[in-house]
Amino acid sequence: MGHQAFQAPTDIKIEGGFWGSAHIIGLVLGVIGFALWAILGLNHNVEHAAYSFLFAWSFVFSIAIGALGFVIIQHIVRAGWSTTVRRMAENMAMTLPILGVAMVVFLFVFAHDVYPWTHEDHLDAILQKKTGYLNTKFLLLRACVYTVIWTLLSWKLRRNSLLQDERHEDEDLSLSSRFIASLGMPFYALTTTFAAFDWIMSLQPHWYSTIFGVYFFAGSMLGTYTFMVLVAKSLQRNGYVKDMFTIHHYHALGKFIFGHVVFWAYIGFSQFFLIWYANIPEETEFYLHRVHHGWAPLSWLLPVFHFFIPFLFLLSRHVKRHHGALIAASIYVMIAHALDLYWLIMPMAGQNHKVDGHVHYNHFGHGMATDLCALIGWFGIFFGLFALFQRSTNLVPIGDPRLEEAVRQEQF
Amino acid sequence: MSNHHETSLTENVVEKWGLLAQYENPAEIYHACEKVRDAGYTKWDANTPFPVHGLDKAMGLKASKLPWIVLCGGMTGPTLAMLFMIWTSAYDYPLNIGGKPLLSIPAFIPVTFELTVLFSAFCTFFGLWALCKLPRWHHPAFNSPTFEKFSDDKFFIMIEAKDDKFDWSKTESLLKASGSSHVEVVED
Repeated sequence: MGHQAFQAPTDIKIEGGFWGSAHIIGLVLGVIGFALWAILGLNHNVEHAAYSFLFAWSFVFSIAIGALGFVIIQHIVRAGWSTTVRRMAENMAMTLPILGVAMVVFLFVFAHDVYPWTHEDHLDAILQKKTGYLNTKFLLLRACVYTVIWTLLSWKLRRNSLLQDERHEDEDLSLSSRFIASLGMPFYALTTTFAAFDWIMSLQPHWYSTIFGVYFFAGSMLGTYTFMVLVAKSLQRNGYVKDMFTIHHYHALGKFIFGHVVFWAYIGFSQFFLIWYANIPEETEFYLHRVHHGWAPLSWLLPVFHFFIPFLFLLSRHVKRHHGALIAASIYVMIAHALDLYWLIMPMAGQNHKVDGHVHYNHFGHGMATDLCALIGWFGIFFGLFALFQRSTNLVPIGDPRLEEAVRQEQF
Repeated sequence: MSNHHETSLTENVVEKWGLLAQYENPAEIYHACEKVRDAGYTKWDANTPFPVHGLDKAMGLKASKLPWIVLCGGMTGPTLAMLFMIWTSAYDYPLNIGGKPLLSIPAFIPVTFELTVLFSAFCTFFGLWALCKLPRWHHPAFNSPTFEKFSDDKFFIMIEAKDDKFDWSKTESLLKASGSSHVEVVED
């Protein structure tokens, strides 16, 4: 139908411009953020600073782990449409080894400031029974195991893709990636779930929710898709991959953002609903902390910010295909996702150190400057690392046999 | 044979529904659709054995009204569900369940969600029926034995005689000029 023969590009790499120096901008921003975090936070309240760090790290980690999930799923289902945008996700996931090591170091230094179950005097009868799982040595060991698994998966899948850039249309590499992705999927799901249990859920060691890992994953994918949309738009604005990312890719990513907004709400409500209905003290504890100490407004507004507004906004096909509207929605949803993690982690800050014989839980709004600095710090580092990986590869997998399919795909 | 065929096209003996044109491949029907679209016809359709990419554009089809019907259903469902549950649980037959307030929104969410999905699904399904003018037991195109090949390897355009632009000889020559391998009259 009048299609010209498809000519796969031979070499698309970043040359100068914003993306040529994006890694420096990111890393400098990261250093500034952490310096301010150290001055504002670490100097005054180590526990709060450690919580800020955990929150900020969780935000960038969620983007990276979601990206690994995206790459794995695309390989398993043999997706054609996503081939061009997959390279971004591969480079996002490649930050996982560094983020994982950072987490191990963080746990080594700050676990005692963050997790109440590391304090002998906090261990009541219930927590004593949990010490087989909740102990610092095992926590560190698990963090190392997760990091190794994520490193292997993200490194191997990216390496296959990069090899394919050179060995054009090598089907064996696609097959190998599909095999690794299928084998890695259960490991990915388990490590992500238990990472969320270990690092976020255990902030309240009495409380547990089996769906917590899924809740974290649902939010993570929002971080991933919104970040991908913004990077793709920025690359094209700077003149790269003009004909590689089409309106159909943005439409598809917009649909994913919309879908995961609904998924997040579904999981979040499922968790809340059972706890609300049963009304058992050890379960309601989670929400109780989040309606006290000034957190109530955020608890009420989170479903509005994170579900109703983006749901109604992204419902329309025209919004998902509109340049400015999709950028606005992506920035908005990314902020909502950060607020969700903030709401998960920050209410528990201050629980480990008694002042005048009392525990002072972090009041909403306190130490926000520290939290923001940590967020800027980690986002800068993450963005810088991502930009560094983007620089070192072609911007799309030029050797993938499904590249043409991706460029020509249509979303209705 | 062909002479006989031509006379039957021009002499109106039985009641005639319209014209059916056969094409051999997707590219042919794609360009033929563009020609029929540009000629300004409105009451016409294309049938292919498999989806042909971009054919909706070649036919000049406007965006479907279906999403708006679904949106109406998607708003009616939760509204009715919420109102009905509030009326029954809190006013018409108040029952104390687990010490919860009579009007407990969280308890109503699952049903509200389900009715949103149900009403949207029904509106999609029956809305599509309405837009396709279904149920309809028979279509005149099936009077033509040639047309059966639309589910095998042939591509068809049919234009209804009711169309304002329709003219038996002009429309026939348009279809022939568009590259059709075979044009015939469809009886009603």
